[in-house]
Amino acid sequence: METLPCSAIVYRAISRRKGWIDWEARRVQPAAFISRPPPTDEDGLSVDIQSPRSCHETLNKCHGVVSLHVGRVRDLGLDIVVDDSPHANITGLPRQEDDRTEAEHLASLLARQARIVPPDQYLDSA
Amino acid sequence: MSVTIDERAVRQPRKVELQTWLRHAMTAIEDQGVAENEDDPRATPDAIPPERSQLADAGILHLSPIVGQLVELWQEPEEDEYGRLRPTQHAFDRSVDLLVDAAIEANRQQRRIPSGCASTDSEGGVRIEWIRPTASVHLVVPAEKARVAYVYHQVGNDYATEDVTSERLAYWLHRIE
Repeated sequence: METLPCSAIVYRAISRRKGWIDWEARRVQPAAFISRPPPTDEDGLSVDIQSPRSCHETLNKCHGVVSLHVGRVRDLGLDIVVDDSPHANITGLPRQEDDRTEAEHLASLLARQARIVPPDQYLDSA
Repeated sequence: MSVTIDERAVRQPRKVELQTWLRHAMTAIEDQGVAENEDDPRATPDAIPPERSQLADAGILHLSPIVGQLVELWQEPEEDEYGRLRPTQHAFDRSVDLLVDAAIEANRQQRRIPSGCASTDSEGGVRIEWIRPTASVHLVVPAEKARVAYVYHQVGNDYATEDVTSERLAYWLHRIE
């Protein structure tokens, strides 16, 4: 299994047009890092280890891409595990049903770490 | 000839429509009051029920941007790739109720509910998040009534969740101002 160096950057696709990014404040919202109930997100939250473009292409409708620094994610006690490169999962996040306080807190911390990737890094120029 | 109306045939207004009606009604009441007083300054206005008075005094129009986000979500397609996109009726109604009641509570202390960022989870539950540089509040209303709504609050290094009431929501929103 591939282990990512702490210096690596991973990318998460923004599935929702509303509520995952506050475009006015240019801020990533915690909602983008809340695990869905089973059977979805069983292995963690999906990220892409290759590039913003690769990440953007994973969804039919992708409303943005945000980046995370692997070392800083590990500082939170979480990890990023590659399962089917370039797909990987952020692991260690509790579900709301199991521990709502930690689920919200970690989502909040991940959102504060995440950076919005400029669209010109994954969209073709017209 | 008498006409019988079957109440079941009359479409019941949705919460959104009621909220819009409420805003119009409040404006109309204020305008009417001014007009009546202009016509006859001796006229005594009808007594306004306390609950309506509270609503009128709460100045809930400042909630419009945040309720507007919920209405936009309500008008979205039912589902997308991620899951259910549109809030459930329960999550929508409960969120609006909590916001309005929290606004009334906040108004008693001369405060207002700040604007937040609304979204739905993959089951149609509603999330509203208020993010500040060193503090945040999340209101989480699950899709189903059977699951409890809660508020997450973080101020500095302290954080916790608690089952939500409008009073506690107003309190924590005050703390992060």
